[in-house]
Amino acid sequence: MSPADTPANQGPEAAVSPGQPVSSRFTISEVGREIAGITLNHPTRLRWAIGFGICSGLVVLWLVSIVVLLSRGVGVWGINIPVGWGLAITNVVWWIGIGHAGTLISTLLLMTGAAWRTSLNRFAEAMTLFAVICAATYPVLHLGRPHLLFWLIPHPNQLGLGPQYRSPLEWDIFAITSYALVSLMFWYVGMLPDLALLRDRARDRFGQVLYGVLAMGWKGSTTSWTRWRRSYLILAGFALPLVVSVHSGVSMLLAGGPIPGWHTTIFPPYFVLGAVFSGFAVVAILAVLLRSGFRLQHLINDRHLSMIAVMLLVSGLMTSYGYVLELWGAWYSSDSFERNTAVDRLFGPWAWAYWGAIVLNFASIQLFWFPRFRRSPLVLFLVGLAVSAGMWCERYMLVVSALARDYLPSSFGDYWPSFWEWTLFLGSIGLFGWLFFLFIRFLPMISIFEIKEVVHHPDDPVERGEPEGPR
Amino acid sequence: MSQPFAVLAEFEKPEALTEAVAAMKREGFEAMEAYAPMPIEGLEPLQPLKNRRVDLWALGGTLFGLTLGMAITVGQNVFQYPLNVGGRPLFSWPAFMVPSFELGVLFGCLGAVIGLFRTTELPRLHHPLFGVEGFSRASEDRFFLAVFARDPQFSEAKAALERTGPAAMHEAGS
Repeated sequence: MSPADTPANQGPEAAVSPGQPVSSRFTISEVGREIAGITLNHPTRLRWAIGFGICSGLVVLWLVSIVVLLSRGVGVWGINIPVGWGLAITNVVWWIGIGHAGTLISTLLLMTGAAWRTSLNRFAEAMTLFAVICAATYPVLHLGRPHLLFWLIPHPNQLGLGPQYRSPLEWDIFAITSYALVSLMFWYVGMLPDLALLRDRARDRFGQVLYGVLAMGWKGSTTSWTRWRRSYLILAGFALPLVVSVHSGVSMLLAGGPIPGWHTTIFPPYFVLGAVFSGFAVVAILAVLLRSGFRLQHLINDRHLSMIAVMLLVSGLMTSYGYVLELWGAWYSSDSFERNTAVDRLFGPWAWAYWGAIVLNFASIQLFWFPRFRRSPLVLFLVGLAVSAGMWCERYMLVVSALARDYLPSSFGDYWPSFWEWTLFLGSIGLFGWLFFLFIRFLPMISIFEIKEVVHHPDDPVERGEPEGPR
Repeated sequence: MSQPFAVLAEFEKPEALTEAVAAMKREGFEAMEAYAPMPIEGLEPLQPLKNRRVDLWALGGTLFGLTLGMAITVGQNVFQYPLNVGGRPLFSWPAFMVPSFELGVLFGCLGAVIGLFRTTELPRLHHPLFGVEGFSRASEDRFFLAVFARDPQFSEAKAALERTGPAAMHEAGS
């Protein structure tokens, strides 16, 4: 089926009303066949194998970089005093930020009852989980002595020594661990009914056993559905404040340090919004890729694309407010060190990162004021890439430029990432892709039963044959 | 087939299922359960909503996590290994709130998941209903209403279910 002859594409958003995430010309068994078929019949073998192969290569690169790092020490990285936080910390902030949009799509939109989340939440949650995995590797490797990680985890020991719980670094241990586990629980519980469907549809023994064990005997009884709804809502309610706490915790790592350029009160909201922004950018990339890769134009339709674009525009403008306030704060504080850092960011050796962030993050999203660009998959894909890169530039600029020029010229110093830092970064992108390819191969990438629910909802105006509301 | 476990009526539409549930309820059947591939409205007669066991599990988990977080941080930083940082008070509780909050959330979620499993009797990989021919479509596009053998009026269940006009009838043996 080409994009042109799917129902959702006949005219601008013909079959799609505001709350209507998919064309209701589907029947519920067609929904199941369509999405479960991707998992069980594996229709895009060659393309999948190529993508998976490339990512596997990058994972090998990632492993090699780790082996080199561990065998020769953090000296293989470009970090030194005064810039002790280089690419590793830039990347942990960047990765964990990407994770946040997945949780927000799932929880905030679930709690506000936005039906359009149904086509996006499953793979966005998977994205969250894999991004958090990528993020979590960095602080561990950055320790330099990863085998001593357990010092950060509270445990009884004969020295009576405990971690310093007043430190934001220690908060991160709790925050990231909780975040990863809660994301996993939320994703898994949301997937239970779909795993039962895969169990029942699987024809080979491997699938039947795999999905049978994962579905844990789900039968879809009324009791289960009632309980399930309640627990899912509770999990969403917990995950929402968790997102905010995790990334404000990350920002505290910086704001807690007496370094000019790191010391503003805007940091927690600025980081959280930037996180959501970069996460939506990756959701945009993934949505466009999945949609064209698996011909899912009727499930991820123009309406979804334009909602993602609107979210990018909104969260991007909020992030831009942070950029403005940073400069304002430096000027208004009358602190010469703050001002120096600000000038350094604008015109210093890392100006490329600053202006890169402005152009890629702020300028690119202005396209989305126009409905034409909001509905164009290509534009959305390119802007998604631009924003991901731009947010990376922003994190880099924040981390490096502040550390490199603090109060005394005697403690000024440069930093440039080394070869092994770049390979580790590239490898972690490969790891993310590798996990994601496994996910789309073995698990339903779109929530089947939630789409069924929307398709068959009796309150739905399309279902009743009534005219659709305005956009 | 050994002992009967349940009789099942199969429906093609969720509306037929909700009507059948109401009709069976009127006839006084109690031990019933409906099975559907997605949550559907109108099955409230089967589900007393006052029951808040999942909430209680989540609440219990949250309180446990909060207490655990406070106990770890206060226990280690105040009693086990008091550490004077810049003359700040040893019991600087605002800093301890972050680990406690994170653990509260983590255990609250664990509580919700455990509560879900406990109240829905999962995991249970085998169940008599899985032996019913065609029951696998309960996760796909069919709707089932089961009357269990423990119902006092079980002997009349089959006839009553047939009156609701199902697409098919099944029996499950234990």
